[in-house]
Amino acid sequence: MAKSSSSRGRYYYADGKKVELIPADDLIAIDEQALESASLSEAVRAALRKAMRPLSGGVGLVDRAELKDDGAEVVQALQAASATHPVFRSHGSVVVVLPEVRVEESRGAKQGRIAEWLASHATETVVKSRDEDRLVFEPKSGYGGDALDLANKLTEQVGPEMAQARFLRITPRPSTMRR
Amino acid sequence: MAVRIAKGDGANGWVFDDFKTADAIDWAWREGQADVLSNSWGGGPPVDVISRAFERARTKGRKNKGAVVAIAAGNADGPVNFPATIANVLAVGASNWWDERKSMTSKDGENWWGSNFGPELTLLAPGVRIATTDIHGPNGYDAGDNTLTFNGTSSATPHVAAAAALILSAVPSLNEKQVRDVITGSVDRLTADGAWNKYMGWGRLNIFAALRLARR
Repeated sequence: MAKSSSSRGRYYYADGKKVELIPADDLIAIDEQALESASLSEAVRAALRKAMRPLSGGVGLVDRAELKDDGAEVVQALQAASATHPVFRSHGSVVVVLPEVRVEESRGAKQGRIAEWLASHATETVVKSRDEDRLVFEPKSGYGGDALDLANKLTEQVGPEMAQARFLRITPRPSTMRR
Repeated sequence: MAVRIAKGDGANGWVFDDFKTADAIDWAWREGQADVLSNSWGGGPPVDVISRAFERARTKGRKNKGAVVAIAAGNADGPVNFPATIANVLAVGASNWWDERKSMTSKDGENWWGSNFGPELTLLAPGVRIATTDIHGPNGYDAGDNTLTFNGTSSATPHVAAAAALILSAVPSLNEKQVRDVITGSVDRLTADGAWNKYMGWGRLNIFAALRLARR
């Protein structure tokens, strides 16, 4: 599966309905481990590490404005090293999509169809765990955008009870305290 | 028990990993055997992984009697936040000392926040200038160990969760829906006609009345 650019609108499913995701091109989500293998100078890597707000799962967030000349070349190098994940805005929060999909299904027949679907997508996916009613798979690309696409595809083609890409959400702190 | 689901992002936000949040909810009712889940958090888009975890808590917790789930509606004076939008949870808004819905223009004078509202709202509970314990020292809201000004639907929600816990301590045989019905059936009605509306929900929590109703 080709890597999808984060510069176009995307969606996912919740409660059977499409939910729109607006690209947040002013932010870059960086996989800290993959950053080390990006063809960037140590000085640029160090600057990225310094600018990065660590989130979770070894992923950090950088404001693009902090990169020299909008960082187009840096972003290109990061993407080539599979070191970025898509960032969106939705419902007042920032959402970063990580390369993992969780599927829940309790019906036996549907479980069989999910297994068939995964078998037919074996070149793109790797199953990481399988329990009674739940399985977790990852896109082989290691790219969060592919997890989003695969979860959508599985939802549209098989319709399990749930197929959800892993989201990190950053919500603003409430400003309710006395001023 | 407290179950941590978020951390600061080093700026002005909270970071949540939705899979870990769902796992924490499952842990609370399954391993932690929580009877009531109090959720003073929210915001961002809806996701099934969290909705389904709450649904499991609500239906499978307490050995299938169901754990009671209370969730803060949010403080933007706008639509109710996810996950308080999930069906069959207690979506909690904030009232003030005058039994008004806390809004930007309510009598308390705190014009910088308001309680969210909408079709999902269940009820209000006190959420303005609430006394509570506080993180010691400069990391807390106040310098000491307590604060008198804890605000928001985050401070209203634990009142409802505590009410659910008291009800269950008095009548442990009640299932999750019965506890919700007791809480919503014993509120002080705040609308002119006593009916539910999207700003007040069913009304303002009345714990004494709820306990009396539960024991009837």
